[in-house]
Amino acid sequence: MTPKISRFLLKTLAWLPVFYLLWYLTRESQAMLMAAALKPLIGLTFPVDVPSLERGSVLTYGIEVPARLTAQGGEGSFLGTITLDVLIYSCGIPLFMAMMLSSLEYRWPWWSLLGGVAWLLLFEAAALYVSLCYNTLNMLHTLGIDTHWLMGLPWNAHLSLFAQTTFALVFPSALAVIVWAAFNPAYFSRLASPHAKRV
Amino acid sequence: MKRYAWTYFILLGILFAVETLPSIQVFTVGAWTQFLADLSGNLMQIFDSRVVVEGSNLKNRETGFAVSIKAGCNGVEAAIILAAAILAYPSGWAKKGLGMILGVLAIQCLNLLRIISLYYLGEWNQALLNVAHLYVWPGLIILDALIIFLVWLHWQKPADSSAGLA
Repeated sequence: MTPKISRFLLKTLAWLPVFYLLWYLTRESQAMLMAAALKPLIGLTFPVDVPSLERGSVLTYGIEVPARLTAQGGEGSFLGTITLDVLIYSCGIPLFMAMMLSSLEYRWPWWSLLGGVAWLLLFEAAALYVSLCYNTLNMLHTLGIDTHWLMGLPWNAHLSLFAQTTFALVFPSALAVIVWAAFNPAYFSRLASPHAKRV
Repeated sequence: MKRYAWTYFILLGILFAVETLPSIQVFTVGAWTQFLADLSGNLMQIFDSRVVVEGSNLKNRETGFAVSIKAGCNGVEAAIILAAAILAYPSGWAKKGLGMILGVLAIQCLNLLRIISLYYLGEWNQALLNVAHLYVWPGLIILDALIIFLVWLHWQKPADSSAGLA
């Protein structure tokens, strides 16, 4: 490993605990922010009202499914709940912050920091929405209900696993690296190139 | 840079679509996950005779505490992210091949450390296990993939470095 890369890695590892702590301490605010951001989108796209409840970093959504859609049929409805942990989707933010401060050279990159976090929050909201959708589809499928009830979406085991893998597992932390590289192309190139000089 | 980014995202999409195919999950990802459980169990038994492997679970025979290694815990996703980054870069196939083999090996070594650390962390404190498992280790594994990619880029010929991302 080269001295430039080692320095960057050590600085990032030094900053990480600080930002993980800050990020963990703000979990309730993050959950409130995400619940507020998702409310209009869910209201527009779901066929029923979906009330949400925030507890710590966990968002719980209640989905009222008409009983006539089930195999047993009948009157009324039943309430299915989907729980989503906001921190799983935002765990790239402390990594992004640590990498940004580790690639600091001449001035504090306030706009890049804010811009990057804004992109990651936008992704977080999108990922939470997609997760709510595929979890709801999985619930409907398990109960033997035609999933087309939810926005006409079909159920597909492969698509469900693909959505879970990409949105909940891979992208939360991978996007932090991608956004960092996008906001620091010159620094990235200098780290990667054996001959590049500071400009 | 734009061309590289597009190629990278397209490759990433294709590789994840293939990885999540049911047949690949059962015969390749599942088998790899089981291999990792056996390997980490065998490594731990060198210094801790209480550890036993039951299926894909690592279990303490005295306390009954166990951690289960599942798809998503096997480092395959980080390996795919690294492989896509290397494949998308304009370089020779030999260098790409070597970069992917050594890179995936390095990711899997760190993943073994992750599995073993999570087992002992869980024995000590369940809440800390959840924090480390769900939030901290995914970031560290991705950081590892980034560092491997940077080292690989650095190892490229000077001519290559000017043709790529800069």
